[in-house]
Amino acid sequence: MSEQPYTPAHHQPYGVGPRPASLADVMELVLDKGVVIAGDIQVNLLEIELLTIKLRLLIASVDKAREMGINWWESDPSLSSQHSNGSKGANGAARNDASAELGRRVDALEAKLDEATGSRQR
Amino acid sequence: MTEPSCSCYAYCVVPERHPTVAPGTVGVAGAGVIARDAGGLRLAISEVNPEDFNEAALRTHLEEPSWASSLAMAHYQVVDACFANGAVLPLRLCTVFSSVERAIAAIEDKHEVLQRALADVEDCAQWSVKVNALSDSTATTTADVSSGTDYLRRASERGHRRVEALEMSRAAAARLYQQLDAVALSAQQDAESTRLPRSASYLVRSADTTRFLATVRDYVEGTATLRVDIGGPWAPYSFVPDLGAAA
Repeated sequence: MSEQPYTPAHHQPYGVGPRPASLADVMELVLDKGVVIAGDIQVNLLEIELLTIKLRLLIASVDKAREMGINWWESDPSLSSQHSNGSKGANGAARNDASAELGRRVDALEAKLDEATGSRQR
Repeated sequence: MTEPSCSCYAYCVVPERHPTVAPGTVGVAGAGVIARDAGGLRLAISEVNPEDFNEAALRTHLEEPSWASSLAMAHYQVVDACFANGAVLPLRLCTVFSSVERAIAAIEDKHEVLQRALADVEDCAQWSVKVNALSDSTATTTADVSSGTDYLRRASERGHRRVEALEMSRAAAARLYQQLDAVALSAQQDAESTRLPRSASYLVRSADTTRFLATVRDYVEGTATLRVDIGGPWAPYSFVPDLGAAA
């Protein structure tokens, strides 16, 4: 890392406190405007938008589950491997629990997608 | 056609007077980040492997939470390091050019828009404000229910109270957002709906930060029905003009 290690400026000046950037915060920020591929790389933009949305959902669900204290798959060695098929079940359960929140996010993202594809397919 | 050995990943645009990116700053895949002059601006870039950033590779990679989240984190940390030095326009995730020259040319091409946009976010930070209703804590007890009719009457009252509480929470959230709109330079709502949870991003001048946070704090202290989460200060990710595919 840099010699001046990354120190988030998210201190807490007031009681209602800004909180440190979680992975979900970061994903929300950097994906807010979506993904763009510039230069001479040919990419189907619609497909990239869809991938972006799936990614946001996945990360939001894992993060939300953790917030709710649902993280048992992390301590289970048979589930914690990132590419194991078993983790799909765990993510599925987490997603279930966060479904209300996710429903809202899906709505918002779909609206964004409509907007994005509408404005980009010129 | 053979791919060039290196592509150029662009993180953000900063003013020309902005200090050079701190030596040792690392970006995507641990590559060193450098700043290059472009059209009266500076561009923070690093080299990336073109094999990771072609269409097929991206389609696979963006489906991998670990790859995508490290990309997002690297992007965020470079932007944040630049943001610590002053105004910054974060570029979108995966802004990749086939060469440094093409990246610089793309920025030069849009330098007027970019300069204006930079001036707009000068001395500002993005804050996110998320609001949700606190869960209903009224205990539901059946201990002293005298009859079936009594039970149904109580259940119906509870239902009414819950609807009323939700309405109050929504209205309270709307008032909070209205007050914040007045303090912030610019606002972006997640959706037009009044449904909870709601979230919004604000562009706030540093001179107004205290007032902005105090508005939230006063609000939280004055209402027992809302849970409010603030995030920030962040680079103005949501207040950057759409540069589109800069090609």
